[in-house]
Amino acid sequence: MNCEEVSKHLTEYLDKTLDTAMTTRVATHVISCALCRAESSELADCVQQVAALPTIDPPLGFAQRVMAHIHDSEPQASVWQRLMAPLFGRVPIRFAATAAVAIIAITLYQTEQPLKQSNDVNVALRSEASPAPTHEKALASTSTTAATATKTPELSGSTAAQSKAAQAALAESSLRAAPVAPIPSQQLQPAAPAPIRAEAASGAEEKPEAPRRPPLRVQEVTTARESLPMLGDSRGFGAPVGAVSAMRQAAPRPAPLALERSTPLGDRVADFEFVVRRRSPQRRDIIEHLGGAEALQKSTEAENTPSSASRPSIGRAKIESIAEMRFYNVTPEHFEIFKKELAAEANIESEPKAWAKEIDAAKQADRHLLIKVTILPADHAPASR
Amino acid sequence: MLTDSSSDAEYVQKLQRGQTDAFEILIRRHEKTIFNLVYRMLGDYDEAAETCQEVFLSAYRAIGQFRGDSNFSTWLYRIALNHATTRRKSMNTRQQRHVPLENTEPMSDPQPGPAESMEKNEIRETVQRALNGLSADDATVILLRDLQDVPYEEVARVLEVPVGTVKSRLHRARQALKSELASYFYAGRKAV
Repeated sequence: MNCEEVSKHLTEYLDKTLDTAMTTRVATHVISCALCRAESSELADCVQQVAALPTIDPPLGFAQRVMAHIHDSEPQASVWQRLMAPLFGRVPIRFAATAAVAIIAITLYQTEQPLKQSNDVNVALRSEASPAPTHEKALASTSTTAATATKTPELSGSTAAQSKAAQAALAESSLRAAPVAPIPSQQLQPAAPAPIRAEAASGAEEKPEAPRRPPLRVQEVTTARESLPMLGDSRGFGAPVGAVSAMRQAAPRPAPLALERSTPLGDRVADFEFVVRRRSPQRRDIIEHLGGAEALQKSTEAENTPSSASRPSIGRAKIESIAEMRFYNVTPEHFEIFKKELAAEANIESEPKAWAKEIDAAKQADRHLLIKVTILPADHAPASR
Repeated sequence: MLTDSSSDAEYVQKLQRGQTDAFEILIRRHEKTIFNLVYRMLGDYDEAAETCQEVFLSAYRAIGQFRGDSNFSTWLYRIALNHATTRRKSMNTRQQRHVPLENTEPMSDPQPGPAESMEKNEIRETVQRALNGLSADDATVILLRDLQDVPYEEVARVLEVPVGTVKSRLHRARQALKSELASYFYAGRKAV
């Protein structure tokens, strides 16, 4: 090994990182070569001098000072941030935001559901109750729903509930059409079998599971009733077969309010106003005792109103002695039907004279008509206004 | 000398999860090593203290980028050397403007100390001056290997160069240091 080769390995030789064979070869040369020995000695001195440099302590409180600097430079976290820090450290912010939106959406959906269900039932029953030929189109969707439900009993819960409500409506329509309206609404459901009727009755019983319905065509909006609580008979009119009574049974109202309930229409002014008077109880009794269909209707009502069995007679008298004000949302196309139905169920004492222009305007604007109906007590009953 | 990295890793994870206090433990573990490295690079206590504080603050701010591929100490060494090199350049510029007399005095005629401690202090100051006279790269590799006793492999990771490069660079740096110290040792030998 010559001096040049030794010089290459001298650093590792001093650091003792060479293998044994190489260390022996380098050491042999260094001992025999004065120049390499001097070089090795001087380098070893340098290494030793650097290694012998004393360890210097950092300033006292160095770590605390650095930490204080860190705390000072960071913005002070609020209490909320401190509480949520572990959560945000683990949950991605996008996931948290999505979850929050989902919770809000579900809450809103559940809050809105009861109102929607109530409206849907009202609309379906009212539409199907009309005997007019022009109403058959409107019935189509409901009939289709009922037929579908009959064909596919394995439908999901909500769809089945809708079907039951539709069948209940059709059943009642057929029952009511026979004595009151000459146009046979049975033609719409000519072979309505007994099971469907029974199902209609049971469907009406399942009031808590209020069904969903297709788009609204007629909607009762508000009710103002004077003073008396709703006892037993919840019918709006004297006639027992009216759509209003059907609505009552399909979706019972909460306790009536002394003032008008708030409505989705806000303070909108009614397009038309009717003043009607209830028919006398005698008239209603006559209707109620008509035929077997009526008997079934009556039994259905009895099932649907559990308190009717023990209903005091004074309750009915009081109900029929009070004035009532109702608002209905009616599509312009169904105004005539609404009017006919109203006339069939109560004595119209006042009605709008010129309505064609308003209906045309509503059609063009594609909006519903808001109809106010003031229901006066029957003639023999004293008004309690 | 590097400390136990496994324990460091635990505290680093805590720090990355937001437990700021974990950083104080890391500072206490490494402050002495880092401070001595920086001090020997700069040769000035106050400058070293200030630079060392910047090193730890930088490490704190960048802790989110530390993936744990290397030891925390290796990563900290790298930050310290970057800061020290930058500070060293700015100090050299200032010294050139002010031109301190002690750095311009020739070392060919040193005064022998009256006592052994004085001689030791003188040797230390001389070595420090020699280190100050080296390039930053040479000073870095000498301090890591000869002062901190860091293995070749670890030095290679800190400097992000191959081990062979570390060896050749160390050989060159030692030769440069020997040249810086030659006049002192020669004069010392003459004096002795």
